[in-house]
Amino acid sequence: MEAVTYTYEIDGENFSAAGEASTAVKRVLKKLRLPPAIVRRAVVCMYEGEINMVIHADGGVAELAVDEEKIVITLKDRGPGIPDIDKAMEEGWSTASSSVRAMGFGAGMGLPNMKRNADEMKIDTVIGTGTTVTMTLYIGGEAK
Amino acid sequence: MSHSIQLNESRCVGCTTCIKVCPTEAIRISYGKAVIYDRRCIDCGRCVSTCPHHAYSVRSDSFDQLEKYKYNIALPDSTLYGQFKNLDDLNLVNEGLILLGFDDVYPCAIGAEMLSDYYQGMEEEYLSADEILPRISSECPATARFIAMEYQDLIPNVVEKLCSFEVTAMVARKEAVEKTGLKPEEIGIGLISPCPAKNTRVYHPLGLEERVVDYVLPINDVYVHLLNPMKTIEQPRDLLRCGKKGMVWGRTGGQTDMFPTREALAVDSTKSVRTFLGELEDDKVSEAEFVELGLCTQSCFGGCLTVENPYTAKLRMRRIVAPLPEERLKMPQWLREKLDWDYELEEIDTEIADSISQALQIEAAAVRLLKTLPKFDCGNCGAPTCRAFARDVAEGFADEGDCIFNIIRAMREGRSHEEESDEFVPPPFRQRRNP
Repeated sequence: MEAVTYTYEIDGENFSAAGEASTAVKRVLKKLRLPPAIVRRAVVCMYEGEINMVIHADGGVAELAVDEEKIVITLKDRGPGIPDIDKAMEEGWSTASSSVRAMGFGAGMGLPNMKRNADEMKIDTVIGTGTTVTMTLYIGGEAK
Repeated sequence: MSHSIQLNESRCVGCTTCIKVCPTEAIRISYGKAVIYDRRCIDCGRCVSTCPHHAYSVRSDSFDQLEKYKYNIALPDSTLYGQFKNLDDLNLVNEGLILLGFDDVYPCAIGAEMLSDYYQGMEEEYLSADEILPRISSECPATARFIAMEYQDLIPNVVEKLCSFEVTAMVARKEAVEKTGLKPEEIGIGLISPCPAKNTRVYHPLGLEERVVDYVLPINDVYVHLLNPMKTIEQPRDLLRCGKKGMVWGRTGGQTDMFPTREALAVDSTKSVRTFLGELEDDKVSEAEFVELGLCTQSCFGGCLTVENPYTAKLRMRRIVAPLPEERLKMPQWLREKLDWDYELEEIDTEIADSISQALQIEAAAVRLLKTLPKFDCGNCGAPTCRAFARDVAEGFADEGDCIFNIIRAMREGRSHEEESDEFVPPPFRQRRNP
């Protein structure tokens, strides 16, 4: 059967609104009778992704697609791209500005946290064009 | 799920006011009349107090109930005392209740003061860091049901113990049996209630094996009966038994006062409670240790069965409780043992799908339909929002054609000349044409 899809616009540079999409995702997933553990993981993935898009890419579009087997979260931005993905995946590595860090964001835990909570994570990035992060969580799969 | 709010169909004009204020989207308009979805109603009473045509009523009992028992005890909710203008002695209300046929009066504040003593005595273990914090009080039965239905992740935070009126009822019955020698069932205990959620809790107790209150009289009914008899009282006896602490428990902040050195927070009104529970569920209020939630504005003073506006009532209460001693009651040992239970609030399931795949199918159909709807949330289809309407259609409770905009669209398509096609549509809905 077809997947149910939802699209959320992430407003760039609006830290006070960051987290709205993950709250919306949580409401949607709970109504779909999904196990609480997978809902929690999906919400973490969405939240971290949302914050990343605000910090680094001036916002973007988040898409949530759910079918019987899996939850797929796709985060598309038109940001600067990620020059060194391996480095970016390291815990504590961050390119966030000092003003962002002063607000308590940009601790370099976003991408590692997303990877830990998703079953699969794919990053497509083009320098100067933007980044698309795709995370898949399998509903019947092993709990992480 | 049973509830106490009822519709008087002959008064309902189908105006859609109530569907907009219901926090759980439990009301629809169908064939010109409101319909309450039993499975979703939490008895908060927003519809009762908002309906311009007074079409809602609340299930309760009448004074006839007193004749069924040999000995009757009134359990006035504390908010009753705030309803009277120029009241200078709380016991005038109590003596007034005696004149109305009750044999004794046990204000609900008695149970409140005992519960307060109980919770304070176990503060260390109750708010220990090993527990799930914040602890959420379950004194407001409408809030408890709201959490059980919409914020299930927070169920373990709810301290599901007895409500203060239930504690009062148990104390009243025990003491009346000792005093009169009657059997427990010969004693009639009547709650004088500020809201439908408390009525429901009387008729369908949670975690108790049997009802502890025998009948319920709404504050607005008792109030009008009390006005004249109260004028005849000269020297009222002290029937209050409790102190200030119990009397103020029902107002916003009454329970957080128990823990002055803790991160204790009181939130009231439907909108604020809803926002707060959402944030709590998303882990955004991590510093709170104890939370008191009242679904009505100014908590119980805003109950839809009260007479006076909640702020005025609260102001009066402040003045009349001032001369009372701080506290006069402790939780008795026999009741303490009864409170030592492991009852947990049961989840209220309102989704009709039994499986993920069925839930997905319904949601997919709703999302598809929602894309074609105007998102005006006009309510003309009978549902509070376009989103709720889309869900109703997907669940099979409504028809896509019920949307007024779909009807206008169909009519437009039937017209051959484009210029004429908007004539029958009111101006706000006409399409702009290029000159």
